[in-house]
Amino acid sequence: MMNLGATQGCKFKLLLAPISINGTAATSLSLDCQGFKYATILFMSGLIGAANFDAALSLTESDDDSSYAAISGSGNGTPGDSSDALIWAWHLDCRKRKRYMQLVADPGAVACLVACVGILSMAEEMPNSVTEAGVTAALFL
Amino acid sequence: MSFAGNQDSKVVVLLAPIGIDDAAATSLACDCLGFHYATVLFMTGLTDDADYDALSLEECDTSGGTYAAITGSAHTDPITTQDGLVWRWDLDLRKRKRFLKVVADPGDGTADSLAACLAILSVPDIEPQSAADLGVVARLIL
Repeated sequence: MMNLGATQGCKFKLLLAPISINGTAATSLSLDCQGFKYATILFMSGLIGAANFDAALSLTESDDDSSYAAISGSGNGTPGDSSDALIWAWHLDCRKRKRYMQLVADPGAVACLVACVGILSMAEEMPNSVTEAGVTAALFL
Repeated sequence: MSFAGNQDSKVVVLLAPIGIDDAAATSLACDCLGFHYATVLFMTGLTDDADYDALSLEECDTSGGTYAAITGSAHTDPITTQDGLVWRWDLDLRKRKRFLKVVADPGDGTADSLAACLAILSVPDIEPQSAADLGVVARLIL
């Protein structure tokens, strides 16, 4: 199937809406990959407090959106005090993965501003509304 | 040719996750040189008890120059109940100036509104070769 120029045919899902987290692992929303062949997950840091994260950023997956297991090899670096305004990326061939994915982000005991978004692409059926694309509104310029 | 998914897209932080209150957030500039298409995502976290005053894009030929509003880029202002949502712009960069910024101006609430914004640059002239070329600290292909 042809990939539309760029991200025009993608669906977006906030896994972590911009939030300040502190000391405990953030609870990520689930990314439901059904109907898409490829996923990109982007973790963004804002101001990271003066403590490293307790664990590497990583992903988990599930068949039922209930019981999640770590995705082997998904550890992708441990943000630290100097890791402000950066992005960590995962690219996933969804055909090899379970239907649902979540992010695991476990900050140290200081406030950290973070966000995470999932981008689903190569849709079996192209999203044709803002709702299906996972956004509130879209403008094409 | 564009790779499957967004494997060859560059991502650029316009607003790192931040709390802002009653003043337009200071957007970083996104340099679109070498790419033909951009998708800009504005994401809200907890929005304080005042509606936004503006949400739009602006452009300029130079990074530090005077930015001009992009006609038609103003989204309906996010309101206080719109937490955890995404606003999107898709841009054909052949019609645009080289540098883009977002204008996000939350209203005057009692606390900060949490927000973030990033740009995804795609359809490159030359495929990015490294994590740095792709605008990320690290990336994994699984």
